[in-house]
Amino acid sequence: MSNKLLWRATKAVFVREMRSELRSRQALNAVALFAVCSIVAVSLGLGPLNRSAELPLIHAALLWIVLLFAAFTALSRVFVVEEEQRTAAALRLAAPPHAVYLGKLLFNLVLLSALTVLIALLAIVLLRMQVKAPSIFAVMLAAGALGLVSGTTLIAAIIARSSSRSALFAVLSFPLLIPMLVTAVRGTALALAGMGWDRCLAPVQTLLAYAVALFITSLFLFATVWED
Amino acid sequence: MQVLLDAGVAIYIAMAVALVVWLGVFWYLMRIDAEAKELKRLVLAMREHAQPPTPRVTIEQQTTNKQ
Amino acid sequence: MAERLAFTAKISLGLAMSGIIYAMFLVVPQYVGLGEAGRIIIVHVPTAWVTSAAFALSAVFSIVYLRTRSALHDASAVAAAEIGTLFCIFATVTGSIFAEVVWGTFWNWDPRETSILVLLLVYAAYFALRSSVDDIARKRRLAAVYNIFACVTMPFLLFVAPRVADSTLHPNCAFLQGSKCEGISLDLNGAKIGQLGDVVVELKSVETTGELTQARVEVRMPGLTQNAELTPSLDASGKPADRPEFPGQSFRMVLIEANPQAGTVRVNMQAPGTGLLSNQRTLWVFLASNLTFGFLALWLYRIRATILHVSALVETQEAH
Repeated sequence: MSNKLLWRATKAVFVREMRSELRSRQALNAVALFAVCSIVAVSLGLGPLNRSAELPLIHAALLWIVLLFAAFTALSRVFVVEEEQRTAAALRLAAPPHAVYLGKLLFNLVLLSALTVLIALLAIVLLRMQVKAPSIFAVMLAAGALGLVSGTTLIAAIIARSSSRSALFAVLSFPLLIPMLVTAVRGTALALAGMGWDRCLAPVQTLLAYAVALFITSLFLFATVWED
Repeated sequence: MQVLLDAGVAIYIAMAVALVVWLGVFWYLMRIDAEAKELKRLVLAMREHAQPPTPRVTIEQQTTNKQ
Repeated sequence: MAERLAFTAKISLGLAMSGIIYAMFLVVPQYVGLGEAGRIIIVHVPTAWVTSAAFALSAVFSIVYLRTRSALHDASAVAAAEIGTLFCIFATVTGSIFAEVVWGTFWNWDPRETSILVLLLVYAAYFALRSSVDDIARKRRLAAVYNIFACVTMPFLLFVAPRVADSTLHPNCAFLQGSKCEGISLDLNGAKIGQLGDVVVELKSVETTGELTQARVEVRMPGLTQNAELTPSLDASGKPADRPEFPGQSFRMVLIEANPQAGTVRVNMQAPGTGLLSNQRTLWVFLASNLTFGFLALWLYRIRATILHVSALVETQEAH
């Protein structure tokens, strides 16, 4: 029973987020432009690269750096917006903490997925990134995005309640994201180079384990952050 | 001065420097430790002396004569 | 009585540390290949483990704080984190100096180096968070949450980092699960190319001449314009005889196993000081140093915690 209620509240929070985002397109516009700018800057700066054994690793690292910084701008907003528009108190009354967390997490996931697809396409077109194992590449990006979102949503809730918000978000999340980032870069490089599942399964497993561990910890801790 | 950097002498110099630094740090720590303890004693004593605000109430009844 | 005992303990700590400093320079023998720089491990290793212990302690106090909401527990968490930061800086600096002298580079992204750097960043973020929240109760709550959250990512650092580099210059890799501490196997008739850290190695030949079994290995590494060739060898009893240095570096290539008939070898990279603790005098000084540094950290923590407790008491008194 309570599960059903929680799910309904979660859906309500999620739908609300989506609706307000689609109405204003604030986050989407800003972040999409940011992604385009950074990929263009990287491509212009590098110029055409020679095919070499290191190229997949270079491409994977660039891709994830752009993705990381786009995520820093995009994912930090969800809770800050509530504080800025003074709607946090109303949300606290309207929905249980878990539903708020799950709803925001889902919204962040949707936002980051859109961003990942955009950045990957831009990288393929502008950076001339060659993807030799497309399906593994897609799985790797999805697992990485899961890790990124589950690692940062709680941090977004923390910084919303502090004074120097956007600067603090990067400072707090970066050290926690390093293990995930390193795995994602290595795994993506393997996928770009066309390695099979025998090599690529371990990074995907690590990324998923990371995502699950941080997700469960966040569920435990979120109510403490959210309480007033 | 050059003699201080000789291979045989330098290691004694290094040890002496490290030892002096440690003794300085140790002396400083002992002092800080004593001061912290004193501070704690003072604050605890102050808390005991500070009267806990006992709830007190005065009820005054005013009867106005309505004639 | 307790007062006197504590005083005696502190004085003996002071004497023990003086003894460690004396022994570090004058009792521990010089180790071949490391020179005088090898002595720094006597202080480097204890500071490194004290760092992780302090971090764990801080996370435990954060959990306790979220349960009790007592300002004292938060103060303890902060004290532990501060002591951890101090020792983390010590460990990084001493390690970096050692690496420059012995391995030839201040920083080479060894898995241990990566994880201690991340630890330093986490501590820095923890204090940055504390200083940017105004409300006291909220500051304590958020800091505790962040501390616990950060602690959850630490195991991934230990599991993931070894995957990044297949071999590490730090000893006792058994602690780093998944790392290929046993080196890499090369086969003349099969996989004759492999990777040690960021060095690509290719087996050219392996043959026995007289007492020595010698392998010729071609080495390609970043920053090297020409390919170099190293010839590590084994003596008749199967122990490494010649351990050539990697070009431009101070770590060595060592041959662990060789089978000239089958054309297979196993090679590894080795820091010059490997096997340092097999010396008895070094071992005992090292153990004593670990113990002393542990107590020193504990003492520092007690002092800092007392001060923070007092200020927490004063704060709550003023709030009333």
